Amino acid sequence: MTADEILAKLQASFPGLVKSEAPLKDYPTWTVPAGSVRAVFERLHSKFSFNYLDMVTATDWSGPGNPKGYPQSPAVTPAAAGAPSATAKDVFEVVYIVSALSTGMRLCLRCELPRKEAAVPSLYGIFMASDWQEREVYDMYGIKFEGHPNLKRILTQDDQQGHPLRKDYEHVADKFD
Amino acid sequence: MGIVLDNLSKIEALPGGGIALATSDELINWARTSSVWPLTFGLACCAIEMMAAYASRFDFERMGVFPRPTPRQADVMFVAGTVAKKMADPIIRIYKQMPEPKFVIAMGGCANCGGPFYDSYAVVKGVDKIIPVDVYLPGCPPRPEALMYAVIKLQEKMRKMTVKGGHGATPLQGTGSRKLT
Repeated sequence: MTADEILAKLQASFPGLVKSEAPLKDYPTWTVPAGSVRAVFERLHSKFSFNYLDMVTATDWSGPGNPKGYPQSPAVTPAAAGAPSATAKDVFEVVYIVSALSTGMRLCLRCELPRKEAAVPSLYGIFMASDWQEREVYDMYGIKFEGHPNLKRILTQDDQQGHPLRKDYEHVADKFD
Repeated sequence: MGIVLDNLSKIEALPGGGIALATSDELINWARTSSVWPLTFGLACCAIEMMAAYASRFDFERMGVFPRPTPRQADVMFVAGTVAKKMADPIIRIYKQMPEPKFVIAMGGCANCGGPFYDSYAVVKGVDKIIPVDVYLPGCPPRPEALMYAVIKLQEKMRKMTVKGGHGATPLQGTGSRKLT
């Protein structure tokens, strides 16, 4: 079964699920609304044997980032900040790559979220791998994964302020700086 | 079992060889410099060079450098690699568990000052921000020969130590390391 056939079957139940305009590499890339993320993955896992979650990551599309608060950060002037790029949007995009080990097929699913109070359903319980992957995305971007039973920082220290990969991150000096 | 006395200027063998005379400082420092036992502990890519130094080509053990599996048996800690802030508390805890006198070699640019991660949210800008360091070894990463040179430098420091008052040892030896944050 090709990716297009799977997409056609899924679209009967999830009308928001569409093919993405910009595919990631040569993977079949779909855009999925935040509300049906968990249901789509549940269906992919149970009906189409997509049993391996390669990765979960995210992108902050809100224009050029201005590093602030680092020991050697340059002073940010309006000229240096630069104009927002053409692709800048006020959204986070959560990116999932999932594959079927039996057929070798690999899909990329994208899900756009508003940057304010960004939240998406967790895949905890469908894929074991989603546990730490989602904690990492939460650590770096502050995106809440609803339904994750242990959503706390995984890479940075416990008293880290803010989420470092957000474009609006401002570093607060801690006891080690 | 015998002791090669050639390199010990202040140790005198009496005629017949049954008795040797030495100052306690000389004897203790000789023992200390001949068995610099490091902790088996690596943080990043510098640890690969450290492992190469232990292995057969460079053979650190001929200098008496023999990695120990527990901090309670270790004299020196090679901080080999980037010190992430999340790793800072475990490092302090390991350091406190080492018996006195204890020494630290900061290996590589990251352990010295943060290295290429100086502008990072996650990296301690030099391990000397959290524990006292005896030898700073630059390089990215330093070759095993450089690590040997650092140990030779540390041995030079050890030879200047005296038993009385713990002179010449780690600055914290007098008070103990419990005052670390």
